[in-house]
Amino acid sequence: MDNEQRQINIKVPVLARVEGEGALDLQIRDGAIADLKLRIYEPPRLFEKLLEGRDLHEVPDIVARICGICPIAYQMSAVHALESILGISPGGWVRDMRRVVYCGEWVESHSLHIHLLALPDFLGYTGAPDMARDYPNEVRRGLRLQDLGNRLIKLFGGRSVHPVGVRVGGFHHPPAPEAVSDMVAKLDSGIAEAEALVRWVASLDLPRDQQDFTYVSLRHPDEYPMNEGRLLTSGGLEIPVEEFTRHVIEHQVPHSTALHARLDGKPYLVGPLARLNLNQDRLPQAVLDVLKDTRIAFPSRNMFHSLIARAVEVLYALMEAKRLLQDYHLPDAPYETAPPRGGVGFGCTEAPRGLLWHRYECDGRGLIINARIVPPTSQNQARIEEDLRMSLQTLGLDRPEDELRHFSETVIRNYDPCISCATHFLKLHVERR
Amino acid sequence: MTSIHIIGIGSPMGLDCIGWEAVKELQRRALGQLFPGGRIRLSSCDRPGSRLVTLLEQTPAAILIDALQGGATPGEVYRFTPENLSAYPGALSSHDVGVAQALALGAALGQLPPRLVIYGIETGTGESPVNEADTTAIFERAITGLYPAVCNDIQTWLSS
Repeated sequence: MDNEQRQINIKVPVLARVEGEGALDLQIRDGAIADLKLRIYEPPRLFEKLLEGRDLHEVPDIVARICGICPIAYQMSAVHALESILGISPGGWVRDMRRVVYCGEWVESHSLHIHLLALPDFLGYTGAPDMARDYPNEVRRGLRLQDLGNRLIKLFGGRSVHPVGVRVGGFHHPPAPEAVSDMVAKLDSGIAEAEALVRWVASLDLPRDQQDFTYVSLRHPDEYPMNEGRLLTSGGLEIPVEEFTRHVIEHQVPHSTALHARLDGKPYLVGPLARLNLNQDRLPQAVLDVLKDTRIAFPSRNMFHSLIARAVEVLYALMEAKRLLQDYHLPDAPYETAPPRGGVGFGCTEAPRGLLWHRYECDGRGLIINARIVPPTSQNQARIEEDLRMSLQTLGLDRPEDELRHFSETVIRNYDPCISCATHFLKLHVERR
Repeated sequence: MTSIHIIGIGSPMGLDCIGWEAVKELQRRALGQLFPGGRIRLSSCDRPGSRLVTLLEQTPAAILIDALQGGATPGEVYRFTPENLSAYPGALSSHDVGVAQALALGAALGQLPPRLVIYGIETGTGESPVNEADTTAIFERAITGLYPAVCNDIQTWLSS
Protein backbone atom coordinates (compact mmCIF):
# COMPACT_ATOMS: atom_id res chain seq x y z
CA MET A 1 0.00 0.00 0.00
CA ASP A 2 1.59 3.31 -1.00
CA ASN A 3 1.47 6.44 1.08
CA GLU A 4 -1.52 7.90 -0.77
CA GLN A 5 -3.73 4.89 -0.07
CA ARG A 6 -2.90 3.98 3.48
CA GLN A 7 -5.51 4.11 6.17
CA ILE A 8 -4.40 5.11 9.61
CA ASN A 9 -6.17 5.33 12.96
CA ILE A 10 -4.72 7.62 15.57
CA LYS A 11 -5.89 7.83 19.16
CA VAL A 12 -5.29 10.81 21.38
CA PRO A 13 -4.94 9.80 25.03
CA VAL A 14 -7.61 10.88 27.48
CA LEU A 15 -7.02 14.50 28.38
CA ALA A 16 -8.77 17.46 29.85
CA ARG A 17 -8.53 19.90 26.98
CA VAL A 18 -11.21 18.64 24.59
CA GLU A 19 -14.65 18.55 26.11
CA GLY A 20 -17.10 15.83 25.38
CA GLU A 21 -16.61 12.60 23.57
CA GLY A 22 -15.79 13.11 19.96
CA ALA A 23 -13.94 11.87 16.95
CA LEU A 24 -12.84 13.37 13.70
CA ASP A 25 -13.19 11.43 10.47
CA LEU A 26 -11.09 12.85 7.70
CA GLN A 27 -11.01 11.41 4.21
CA ILE A 28 -8.39 12.74 1.85
CA ARG A 29 -8.67 11.88 -1.81
CA ASP A 30 -6.35 13.09 -4.55
CA GLY A 31 -4.81 15.55 -2.14
CA ALA A 32 -8.14 17.17 -1.20
CA ILE A 33 -10.60 16.72 1.65
CA ALA A 34 -13.32 14.41 0.37
CA ASP A 35 -15.14 14.12 3.68
CA LEU A 36 -14.77 15.60 7.15
CA LYS A 37 -16.99 14.90 10.11
CA LEU A 38 -16.61 16.10 13.68
CA ARG A 39 -18.50 13.34 15.42
CA ILE A 40 -19.84 14.24 18.85
CA TYR A 41 -21.61 11.49 20.65
CA GLU A 42 -22.38 12.86 24.08
CA PRO A 43 -25.65 11.30 25.18
CA PRO A 44 -28.69 13.56 24.87
CA ARG A 45 -29.31 15.50 28.09
CA LEU A 46 -33.10 15.87 27.67
CA PHE A 47 -33.22 18.95 29.88
CA GLU A 48 -35.93 20.57 27.77
CA LYS A 49 -38.26 17.64 28.41
CA LEU A 50 -37.33 17.58 32.10
CA LEU A 51 -38.54 21.16 32.41
CA GLU A 52 -42.04 20.40 31.15
CA GLY A 53 -44.58 20.58 33.95
CA ARG A 54 -42.18 22.35 36.31
CA ASP A 55 -43.00 25.64 37.96
CA LEU A 56 -41.22 28.49 36.23
CA HIS A 57 -39.45 29.36 39.49
CA GLU A 58 -37.70 25.98 39.41
CA VAL A 59 -36.17 26.65 36.00
CA PRO A 60 -33.08 28.69 37.03
CA ASP A 61 -31.82 25.96 39.36
CA ILE A 62 -32.50 23.18 36.86
CA VAL A 63 -30.88 24.80 33.83
CA ALA A 64 -27.83 25.76 35.92
CA ARG A 65 -27.07 22.04 35.95
CA ILE A 66 -26.64 21.92 32.19
CA CYS A 67 -23.11 23.26 32.39
CA GLY A 68 -20.59 23.26 35.21
CA ILE A 69 -18.64 26.11 33.67
CA CYS A 70 -21.38 28.46 32.51
CA PRO A 71 -24.38 27.95 34.84
CA ILE A 72 -24.92 31.70 35.15
CA ALA A 73 -25.45 31.96 31.41
CA TYR A 74 -28.18 29.35 31.54
CA GLN A 75 -29.79 31.08 34.49
CA MET A 76 -29.63 34.49 32.81
CA SER A 77 -31.19 33.41 29.52
CA ALA A 78 -33.90 31.59 31.47
CA VAL A 79 -34.85 34.39 33.87
CA HIS A 80 -35.04 36.98 31.10
CA ALA A 81 -37.32 34.73 29.07
CA LEU A 82 -39.53 33.88 32.05
CA GLU A 83 -39.75 37.48 33.25
CA SER A 84 -40.97 38.53 29.82
CA ILE A 85 -43.83 36.06 30.28
CA LEU A 86 -44.58 37.49 33.73
CA GLY A 87 -44.47 41.02 32.34
CA ILE A 88 -41.67 42.25 34.59
CA SER A 89 -38.31 43.71 33.70
CA PRO A 90 -36.17 44.16 36.81
CA GLY A 91 -33.91 47.13 36.41
CA GLY A 92 -31.62 49.13 38.66
CA TRP A 93 -29.82 47.03 41.26
CA VAL A 94 -30.94 43.68 39.85
CA ARG A 95 -29.91 44.55 36.32
CA ASP A 96 -26.48 45.77 37.45
CA MET A 97 -25.76 42.83 39.71
CA ARG A 98 -26.81 40.35 37.04
CA ARG A 99 -24.18 41.93 34.88
CA VAL A 100 -21.62 41.59 37.66
CA VAL A 101 -22.24 37.90 38.21
CA TYR A 102 -22.07 37.34 34.45
CA CYS A 103 -18.70 39.14 34.47
CA GLY A 104 -17.55 36.60 37.04
CA GLU A 105 -18.50 33.74 34.76
CA TRP A 106 -16.72 35.27 31.77
CA VAL A 107 -13.56 35.79 33.84
CA GLU A 108 -13.64 32.27 35.27
CA SER A 109 -14.43 30.50 32.01
CA HIS A 110 -12.08 32.52 29.79
CA SER A 111 -9.17 32.30 32.25
CA LEU A 112 -9.57 28.53 32.44
CA HIS A 113 -9.69 28.16 28.68
CA ILE A 114 -6.81 30.49 27.92
CA HIS A 115 -4.35 29.04 30.41
CA LEU A 116 -5.23 25.40 30.81
CA LEU A 117 -6.93 24.42 27.56
CA ALA A 118 -5.71 26.59 24.67
CA LEU A 119 -2.27 27.99 25.46
CA PRO A 120 -0.46 24.62 25.62
CA ASP A 121 -1.33 24.24 21.93
CA PHE A 122 0.10 27.59 20.93
CA LEU A 123 3.21 27.30 23.09
CA GLY A 124 4.01 23.73 22.04
CA TYR A 125 3.20 21.72 25.15
CA THR A 126 1.17 18.58 25.69
CA GLY A 127 -0.74 20.12 28.56
CA ALA A 128 -0.91 22.78 31.22
CA PRO A 129 1.43 21.05 33.72
CA ASP A 130 4.19 20.87 31.11
CA MET A 131 3.61 24.48 30.17
CA ALA A 132 3.56 25.55 33.83
CA ARG A 133 7.16 24.44 34.30
CA ASP A 134 8.32 27.00 31.73
CA TYR A 135 5.64 29.64 32.30
CA PRO A 136 4.92 29.40 36.05
CA ASN A 137 4.18 33.08 36.56
CA GLU A 138 1.75 33.23 33.65
CA VAL A 139 -0.08 30.09 34.80
CA ARG A 140 -0.24 31.35 38.38
CA ARG A 141 -1.68 34.60 37.10
CA GLY A 142 -4.26 32.62 35.13
CA LEU A 143 -5.24 30.64 38.21
CA ARG A 144 -5.59 33.84 40.23
CA LEU A 145 -7.84 35.35 37.56
CA GLN A 146 -9.91 32.19 37.41
CA ASP A 147 -10.23 32.27 41.19
CA LEU A 148 -11.34 35.89 41.07
CA GLY A 149 -14.08 34.97 38.61
CA ASN A 150 -15.17 32.16 40.88
CA ARG A 151 -15.33 34.53 43.83
CA LEU A 152 -17.57 36.92 41.90
CA ILE A 153 -19.93 34.07 41.07
CA LYS A 154 -19.93 32.88 44.66
CA LEU A 155 -20.63 36.38 45.94
CA PHE A 156 -24.03 36.37 44.24
CA GLY A 157 -24.58 32.66 43.65
CA GLY A 158 -23.79 31.36 47.11
CA ARG A 159 -21.31 28.90 45.61
CA SER A 160 -19.19 28.93 42.48
CA VAL A 161 -20.24 25.51 41.16
CA HIS A 162 -23.90 25.36 40.16
CA PRO A 163 -24.71 28.63 41.95
CA VAL A 164 -28.15 29.00 43.51
CA GLY A 165 -28.45 32.76 44.15
CA VAL A 166 -30.28 33.66 40.94
CA ARG A 167 -34.06 33.57 40.84
CA VAL A 168 -36.81 34.79 38.55
CA GLY A 169 -37.12 38.49 39.36
CA GLY A 170 -33.58 38.97 40.71
CA PHE A 171 -31.51 37.35 43.46
CA HIS A 172 -32.56 35.47 46.58
CA HIS A 173 -30.23 37.52 48.79
CA PRO A 174 -28.03 40.56 48.24
CA PRO A 175 -24.37 40.22 49.25
CA ALA A 176 -23.32 42.15 52.35
CA PRO A 177 -21.61 45.50 51.64
CA GLU A 178 -18.50 44.32 53.53
CA ALA A 179 -18.14 41.31 51.23
CA VAL A 180 -18.52 43.55 48.20
CA SER A 181 -15.88 45.97 49.52
CA ASP A 182 -13.44 43.08 49.87
CA MET A 183 -14.21 42.04 46.32
CA VAL A 184 -13.67 45.53 44.89
CA ALA A 185 -10.22 45.61 46.48
CA LYS A 186 -9.38 42.30 44.80
CA LEU A 187 -10.67 43.53 41.45
CA ASP A 188 -8.03 46.25 41.31
CA SER A 189 -5.16 43.76 41.31
CA GLY A 190 -7.09 41.53 38.93
CA ILE A 191 -7.46 44.36 36.43
CA ALA A 192 -3.71 44.96 36.40
CA GLU A 193 -3.11 41.25 35.86
CA ALA A 194 -5.70 41.04 33.10
CA GLU A 195 -4.07 43.96 31.31
CA ALA A 196 -0.75 42.11 31.42
CA LEU A 197 -2.53 39.01 30.14
CA VAL A 198 -3.88 40.84 27.08
CA ARG A 199 -0.45 42.21 26.24
CA TRP A 200 1.15 38.79 26.67
CA VAL A 201 -1.27 36.73 24.54
CA ALA A 202 -1.23 39.41 21.85
CA SER A 203 2.56 39.07 21.67
CA LEU A 204 2.43 35.33 20.99
CA ASP A 205 3.12 34.00 17.54
CA LEU A 206 -0.34 32.65 16.81
CA PRO A 207 -1.11 30.85 13.53
CA ARG A 208 -2.05 33.26 10.76
CA ASP A 209 -5.09 31.95 8.92
CA GLN A 210 -7.50 34.45 7.47
CA GLN A 211 -10.90 32.93 6.72
CA ASP A 212 -14.17 34.20 5.37
CA PHE A 213 -16.96 33.34 7.80
CA THR A 214 -20.15 34.70 9.30
CA TYR A 215 -20.21 35.75 12.94
CA VAL A 216 -23.11 36.63 15.20
CA SER A 217 -23.57 38.25 18.60
CA LEU A 218 -25.89 40.41 20.60
CA ARG A 219 -25.67 44.14 20.05
CA HIS A 220 -26.78 46.67 22.66
CA PRO A 221 -27.14 50.42 22.06
CA ASP A 222 -24.96 51.43 25.01
CA GLU A 223 -22.89 48.58 26.37
CA TYR A 224 -20.82 45.54 25.55
CA PRO A 225 -23.49 42.85 25.27
CA MET A 226 -24.27 40.36 28.01
CA ASN A 227 -27.93 40.10 28.98
CA GLU A 228 -29.74 42.28 26.48
CA GLY A 229 -29.68 43.38 22.89
CA ARG A 230 -30.63 42.46 19.37
CA LEU A 231 -28.94 39.83 17.25
CA LEU A 232 -26.43 41.25 14.82
CA THR A 233 -24.57 39.35 12.11
CA SER A 234 -21.39 40.25 10.25
CA GLY A 235 -23.56 40.36 7.13
CA GLY A 236 -25.56 43.26 8.58
CA LEU A 237 -28.71 41.39 9.59
CA GLU A 238 -30.12 42.81 12.81
CA ILE A 239 -33.15 41.18 14.40
CA PRO A 240 -34.86 40.90 17.78
CA VAL A 241 -34.11 37.69 19.66
CA GLU A 242 -37.72 36.62 19.16
CA GLU A 243 -36.94 36.17 15.46
CA PHE A 244 -33.97 33.86 16.07
CA THR A 245 -35.68 30.78 14.67
CA ARG A 246 -36.76 32.60 11.52
CA HIS A 247 -33.10 32.65 10.52
CA VAL A 248 -31.41 29.91 12.55
CA ILE A 249 -32.40 26.36 11.74
CA GLU A 250 -31.17 23.50 13.89
CA HIS A 251 -30.92 20.12 12.26
CA GLN A 252 -29.67 16.68 13.07
CA VAL A 253 -26.71 15.19 11.30
CA PRO A 254 -26.12 11.44 11.42
CA HIS A 255 -22.67 11.77 12.92
CA SER A 256 -23.53 13.92 15.97
CA THR A 257 -25.98 13.78 18.83
CA ALA A 258 -25.65 17.55 19.17
CA LEU A 259 -27.74 19.54 16.73
CA HIS A 260 -26.04 21.60 14.05
CA ALA A 261 -27.29 25.15 13.55
CA ARG A 262 -27.12 27.27 10.42
CA LEU A 263 -27.95 30.92 9.92
CA ASP A 264 -29.88 31.36 6.70
CA GLY A 265 -28.35 28.10 5.55
CA LYS A 266 -24.75 28.88 6.45
CA PRO A 267 -22.41 27.96 9.30
CA TYR A 268 -21.69 30.81 11.70
CA LEU A 269 -19.53 31.69 14.66
CA VAL A 270 -20.66 32.78 18.11
CA GLY A 271 -18.40 33.59 21.05
CA PRO A 272 -15.75 36.08 22.11
CA LEU A 273 -14.28 36.75 18.68
CA ALA A 274 -17.75 37.36 17.24
CA ARG A 275 -18.61 39.65 20.16
CA LEU A 276 -15.42 41.66 19.92
CA ASN A 277 -15.62 41.92 16.13
CA LEU A 278 -19.14 43.33 16.34
CA ASN A 279 -18.92 45.35 19.56
CA GLN A 280 -15.44 46.83 19.80
CA ASP A 281 -16.99 50.30 19.87
CA ARG A 282 -18.85 49.38 23.05
CA LEU A 283 -15.65 48.82 25.03
CA PRO A 284 -14.51 51.51 27.46
CA GLN A 285 -11.56 53.64 26.40
CA ALA A 286 -9.24 52.01 28.96
CA VAL A 287 -9.73 48.62 27.29
CA LEU A 288 -9.45 50.10 23.80
CA ASP A 289 -6.13 51.70 24.77
CA VAL A 290 -4.70 48.32 25.78
CA LEU A 291 -6.08 46.74 22.63
CA LYS A 292 -4.59 49.49 20.46
CA ASP A 293 -1.15 48.86 21.99
CA THR A 294 -1.28 45.24 20.86
CA ARG A 295 -1.50 46.34 17.20
CA ILE A 296 -3.92 43.49 16.51
CA ALA A 297 -6.75 44.82 14.43
CA PHE A 298 -10.35 43.87 15.10
CA PRO A 299 -12.63 42.87 13.44
CA SER A 300 -10.37 39.91 12.77
CA ARG A 301 -10.88 37.00 10.38
CA ASN A 302 -8.21 34.93 12.09
CA MET A 303 -10.04 32.43 14.28
CA PHE A 304 -6.95 32.07 16.46
CA HIS A 305 -7.47 35.66 17.59
CA SER A 306 -10.25 34.17 19.74
CA LEU A 307 -7.54 33.74 22.35
CA ILE A 308 -6.88 37.48 22.39
CA ALA A 309 -10.60 38.26 22.36
CA ARG A 310 -11.02 36.13 25.48
CA ALA A 311 -8.22 37.98 27.25
CA VAL A 312 -9.75 41.33 26.26
CA GLU A 313 -13.08 40.19 27.68
CA VAL A 314 -11.42 39.14 30.94
CA LEU A 315 -10.04 42.66 31.26
CA TYR A 316 -13.34 44.24 30.31
CA ALA A 317 -15.36 42.04 32.67
CA LEU A 318 -13.18 42.89 35.65
CA MET A 319 -13.39 46.62 34.88
CA GLU A 320 -17.14 46.38 34.41
CA ALA A 321 -17.58 44.47 37.67
CA LYS A 322 -15.58 47.11 39.51
CA ARG A 323 -17.58 49.93 37.92
CA LEU A 324 -20.84 48.34 39.00
CA LEU A 325 -19.70 47.38 42.50
CA GLN A 326 -17.73 50.40 43.63
CA ASP A 327 -20.85 52.30 44.73
CA TYR A 328 -22.63 49.19 45.95
CA HIS A 329 -25.65 49.57 48.20
CA LEU A 330 -28.20 47.16 49.55
CA PRO A 331 -31.41 47.20 47.51
CA ASP A 332 -34.88 47.76 48.93
CA ALA A 333 -35.67 44.29 47.58
CA PRO A 334 -33.30 41.94 45.74
CA TYR A 335 -36.04 40.66 43.46
CA GLU A 336 -39.38 41.56 41.91
CA THR A 337 -42.40 39.32 41.99
CA ALA A 338 -45.42 38.94 39.75
CA PRO A 339 -48.36 36.55 39.70
CA PRO A 340 -48.09 33.65 37.26
CA ARG A 341 -49.55 34.04 33.82
CA GLY A 342 -49.42 32.14 30.59
CA GLY A 343 -47.49 33.03 27.50
CA VAL A 344 -44.32 32.61 25.49
CA GLY A 345 -41.02 34.25 26.38
CA PHE A 346 -37.58 34.49 24.81
CA GLY A 347 -34.21 35.03 26.43
CA CYS A 348 -30.89 35.37 24.67
CA THR A 349 -27.68 36.24 26.49
CA GLU A 350 -23.97 36.03 25.81
CA ALA A 351 -22.53 32.94 27.50
CA PRO A 352 -18.72 32.85 27.61
CA ARG A 353 -18.84 30.69 24.47
CA GLY A 354 -21.47 32.77 22.70
CA LEU A 355 -25.19 33.16 22.17
CA LEU A 356 -27.40 31.10 24.45
CA TRP A 357 -31.01 31.27 23.28
CA HIS A 358 -33.99 30.09 25.36
CA ARG A 359 -37.71 29.94 24.62
CA TYR A 360 -40.36 28.94 27.15
CA GLU A 361 -44.10 28.54 27.01
CA CYS A 362 -46.02 28.65 30.31
CA ASP A 363 -49.63 28.00 31.20
CA GLY A 364 -51.69 30.28 33.43
CA ARG A 365 -50.42 28.55 36.59
CA GLY A 366 -46.81 29.30 35.70
CA LEU A 367 -46.01 25.72 34.68
CA ILE A 368 -43.69 25.09 31.75
CA ILE A 369 -45.53 23.68 28.73
CA ASN A 370 -42.44 23.44 26.58
CA ALA A 371 -38.88 24.68 26.53
CA ARG A 372 -36.23 25.08 23.88
CA ILE A 373 -32.56 25.78 24.52
CA VAL A 374 -29.98 26.47 21.82
CA PRO A 375 -26.47 26.49 23.33
CA PRO A 376 -23.42 28.11 21.75
CA THR A 377 -21.49 24.90 21.14
CA SER A 378 -24.35 23.58 19.04
CA GLN A 379 -24.27 26.76 16.98
CA ASN A 380 -20.51 26.54 16.48
CA GLN A 381 -20.39 22.91 15.34
CA ALA A 382 -20.92 23.53 11.64
CA ARG A 383 -18.44 26.42 11.80
CA ILE A 384 -15.83 24.14 13.39
CA GLU A 385 -16.20 21.70 10.52
CA GLU A 386 -15.99 24.56 8.02
CA ASP A 387 -12.89 25.90 9.79
CA LEU A 388 -11.24 22.46 9.78
CA ARG A 389 -11.81 22.14 6.05
CA MET A 390 -10.30 25.53 5.37
CA SER A 391 -7.41 25.43 7.80
CA LEU A 392 -6.31 21.85 7.10
CA GLN A 393 -6.21 22.69 3.40
CA THR A 394 -4.09 25.73 4.21
CA LEU A 395 -1.80 23.68 6.46
CA GLY A 396 -1.26 21.07 3.76
CA LEU A 397 -2.97 17.70 3.62
CA ASP A 398 0.26 15.91 2.87
CA ARG A 399 1.50 16.58 6.40
CA PRO A 400 2.08 13.59 8.70
CA GLU A 401 -0.98 12.24 10.49
CA ASP A 402 0.38 13.30 13.87
CA GLU A 403 0.63 16.86 12.71
CA LEU A 404 -2.81 16.77 11.11
CA ARG A 405 -4.29 15.38 14.32
CA HIS A 406 -2.61 17.90 16.57
CA PHE A 407 -3.55 20.79 14.31
CA SER A 408 -7.16 19.56 14.14
CA GLU A 409 -7.30 19.38 17.92
CA THR A 410 -5.89 22.89 18.15
CA VAL A 411 -8.57 24.19 15.79
CA ILE A 412 -11.34 22.48 17.75
CA ARG A 413 -10.04 23.57 21.15
CA ASN A 414 -9.80 27.14 19.91
CA TYR A 415 -13.62 27.23 19.97
CA ASP A 416 -13.67 26.23 23.65
CA PRO A 417 -16.25 23.46 23.17
CA CYS A 418 -18.38 23.21 26.27
CA ILE A 419 -17.09 21.20 29.18
CA SER A 420 -19.25 18.25 30.15
CA CYS A 421 -18.70 15.35 32.45
CA ALA A 422 -17.95 13.01 29.56
CA THR A 423 -14.63 11.33 28.97
CA HIS A 424 -12.46 13.33 26.63
CA PHE A 425 -11.36 11.54 23.58
CA LEU A 426 -10.53 12.61 20.08
CA LYS A 427 -9.85 9.86 17.61
CA LEU A 428 -8.68 10.96 14.17
CA HIS A 429 -9.34 8.60 11.34
CA VAL A 430 -7.49 9.62 8.20
CA GLU A 431 -8.22 7.80 4.99
CA ARG A 432 -6.05 8.66 2.03
CA ARG A 433 -6.98 7.50 -1.46
CA MET B 1 1.70 24.26 65.78
CA THR B 2 1.35 22.27 62.55
CA SER B 3 -1.65 23.21 60.45
CA ILE B 4 -3.34 20.32 58.65
CA HIS B 5 -6.13 20.89 56.15
CA ILE B 6 -8.42 17.94 55.42
CA ILE B 7 -10.56 18.48 52.31
CA GLY B 8 -13.47 16.36 51.15
CA ILE B 9 -13.94 16.57 47.39
CA GLY B 10 -17.13 15.59 45.61
CA SER B 11 -20.49 16.56 44.21
CA PRO B 12 -24.08 16.04 45.34
CA MET B 13 -24.56 13.27 42.78
CA GLY B 14 -24.91 9.77 44.20
CA LEU B 15 -21.85 8.32 45.87
CA ASP B 16 -19.68 11.11 44.53
CA CYS B 17 -20.45 12.86 47.83
CA ILE B 18 -18.63 10.20 49.82
CA GLY B 19 -15.62 12.48 50.35
CA TRP B 20 -17.94 15.09 51.90
CA GLU B 21 -19.58 12.47 54.10
CA ALA B 22 -16.18 11.23 55.24
CA VAL B 23 -15.21 14.76 56.32
CA LYS B 24 -18.48 15.11 58.23
CA GLU B 25 -17.71 11.86 60.03
CA LEU B 26 -14.19 13.05 60.89
CA GLN B 27 -15.75 16.21 62.29
CA ARG B 28 -18.11 14.12 64.42
CA ARG B 29 -15.15 12.18 65.76
CA ALA B 30 -13.54 15.46 66.87
CA LEU B 31 -10.15 15.01 65.27
CA GLY B 32 -9.05 18.41 66.55
CA GLN B 33 -9.50 17.26 70.16
CA LEU B 34 -7.76 13.95 69.50
CA PHE B 35 -4.68 15.76 68.24
CA PRO B 36 -4.33 18.93 70.31
CA GLY B 37 -0.79 19.37 69.03
CA GLY B 38 -2.05 20.30 65.57
CA ARG B 39 -4.41 22.84 64.11
CA ILE B 40 -6.74 20.66 62.08
CA ARG B 41 -9.13 22.27 59.64
CA LEU B 42 -11.81 20.25 57.86
CA SER B 43 -13.71 21.47 54.82
CA SER B 44 -15.46 20.20 51.71
CA CYS B 45 -15.57 21.52 48.18
CA ASP B 46 -17.60 20.81 45.10
CA ARG B 47 -15.54 19.69 42.10
CA PRO B 48 -12.75 22.21 42.49
CA GLY B 49 -10.89 21.30 39.30
CA SER B 50 -7.84 23.50 38.89
CA ARG B 51 -8.99 25.63 41.86
CA LEU B 52 -7.58 22.87 44.02
CA VAL B 53 -4.14 24.36 43.34
CA THR B 54 -5.29 27.66 44.83
CA LEU B 55 -6.96 25.90 47.76
CA LEU B 56 -3.74 24.13 48.67
CA GLU B 57 -1.54 27.18 48.28
CA GLN B 58 0.53 27.92 51.39
CA THR B 59 -0.84 24.88 53.21
CA PRO B 60 1.97 22.95 54.97
CA ALA B 61 0.05 19.66 55.24
CA ALA B 62 -3.12 18.43 53.61
CA ILE B 63 -5.24 15.32 53.26
CA LEU B 64 -7.63 15.05 50.31
CA ILE B 65 -10.54 12.61 50.33
CA ASP B 66 -12.28 11.90 47.04
CA ALA B 67 -14.46 9.27 45.38
CA LEU B 68 -12.90 7.14 42.69
CA GLN B 69 -13.82 4.35 40.34
CA GLY B 70 -10.95 1.91 40.23
CA GLY B 71 -12.71 -1.42 39.91
CA ALA B 72 -12.29 -2.57 43.51
CA THR B 73 -15.00 -3.38 46.05
CA PRO B 74 -17.06 -0.26 46.84
CA GLY B 75 -15.90 1.27 50.10
CA GLU B 76 -12.28 0.20 49.70
CA VAL B 77 -9.84 2.96 50.53
CA TYR B 78 -6.76 3.75 48.50
CA ARG B 79 -3.92 5.90 49.78
CA PHE B 80 -1.83 7.94 47.38
CA THR B 81 0.95 10.44 47.55
CA PRO B 82 1.37 12.98 44.73
CA GLU B 83 4.31 10.93 43.46
CA ASN B 84 2.38 7.72 42.89
CA LEU B 85 -0.95 9.29 41.99
CA SER B 86 -0.47 9.52 38.25
CA ALA B 87 1.00 6.01 38.12
CA TYR B 88 -2.23 4.45 39.30
CA PRO B 89 -3.67 2.56 36.33
CA GLY B 90 -7.38 2.92 37.07
CA ALA B 91 -9.68 5.88 36.73
CA LEU B 92 -8.36 8.17 39.39
CA SER B 93 -11.34 10.35 40.04
CA SER B 94 -14.98 10.42 39.21
CA HIS B 95 -14.59 14.09 38.35
CA ASP B 96 -13.91 15.54 34.98
CA VAL B 97 -11.03 17.89 35.76
CA GLY B 98 -9.69 15.51 38.29
CA VAL B 99 -7.56 15.71 41.35
CA ALA B 100 -4.65 14.11 39.49
CA GLN B 101 -4.56 16.80 36.82
CA ALA B 102 -4.87 19.57 39.38
CA LEU B 103 -2.08 18.11 41.50
CA ALA B 104 0.12 17.66 38.45
CA LEU B 105 -0.36 21.36 37.75
CA GLY B 106 0.34 22.25 41.38
CA ALA B 107 3.50 20.12 41.31
CA ALA B 108 4.71 21.81 38.13
CA LEU B 109 4.21 25.17 39.81
CA GLY B 110 5.93 23.99 43.00
CA GLN B 111 2.80 24.86 44.96
CA LEU B 112 1.86 21.57 46.57
CA PRO B 113 1.95 21.23 50.36
CA PRO B 114 5.18 19.58 51.52
CA ARG B 115 3.01 16.98 53.21
CA LEU B 116 0.15 15.75 51.11
CA VAL B 117 -1.82 12.51 51.07
CA ILE B 118 -4.79 11.66 48.88
CA TYR B 119 -7.38 9.10 49.88
CA GLY B 120 -9.62 7.66 47.20
CA ILE B 121 -12.77 5.82 48.21
CA GLU B 122 -13.96 3.24 45.71
CA THR B 123 -17.57 3.88 44.68
CA GLY B 124 -18.00 1.20 41.99
CA THR B 125 -18.86 1.72 38.36
CA GLY B 126 -22.05 3.64 39.07
CA GLU B 127 -23.83 1.68 36.36
CA SER B 128 -26.48 0.25 38.68
CA PRO B 129 -28.45 2.18 41.27
CA VAL B 130 -27.27 1.90 44.86
CA ASN B 131 -29.96 1.65 47.52
CA GLU B 132 -29.75 3.25 50.96
CA ALA B 133 -28.64 0.06 52.70
CA ASP B 134 -25.83 -0.43 50.19
CA THR B 135 -24.79 3.21 50.58
CA THR B 136 -24.60 2.83 54.35
CA ALA B 137 -22.55 -0.37 54.04
CA ILE B 138 -20.16 1.24 51.55
CA PHE B 139 -19.70 4.27 53.79
CA GLU B 140 -19.09 2.19 56.91
CA ARG B 141 -16.53 0.10 55.07
CA ALA B 142 -14.84 3.28 53.86
CA ILE B 143 -14.69 4.90 57.30
CA THR B 144 -13.35 1.69 58.82
CA GLY B 145 -10.40 1.91 56.48
CA LEU B 146 -10.07 5.69 56.32
CA TYR B 147 -10.25 6.79 59.94
CA PRO B 148 -7.20 4.90 61.32
CA ALA B 149 -5.20 5.77 58.22
CA VAL B 150 -5.92 9.50 58.56
CA CYS B 151 -5.14 9.38 62.28
CA ASN B 152 -1.87 7.65 61.50
CA ASP B 153 -0.91 10.34 58.97
CA ILE B 154 -1.67 13.10 61.44
CA GLN B 155 0.23 11.37 64.23
CA THR B 156 3.24 10.83 61.98
CA TRP B 157 3.28 14.46 60.83
CA LEU B 158 2.90 15.82 64.36
CA SER B 159 5.65 13.64 65.78
CA SER B 160 8.20 14.28 63.05
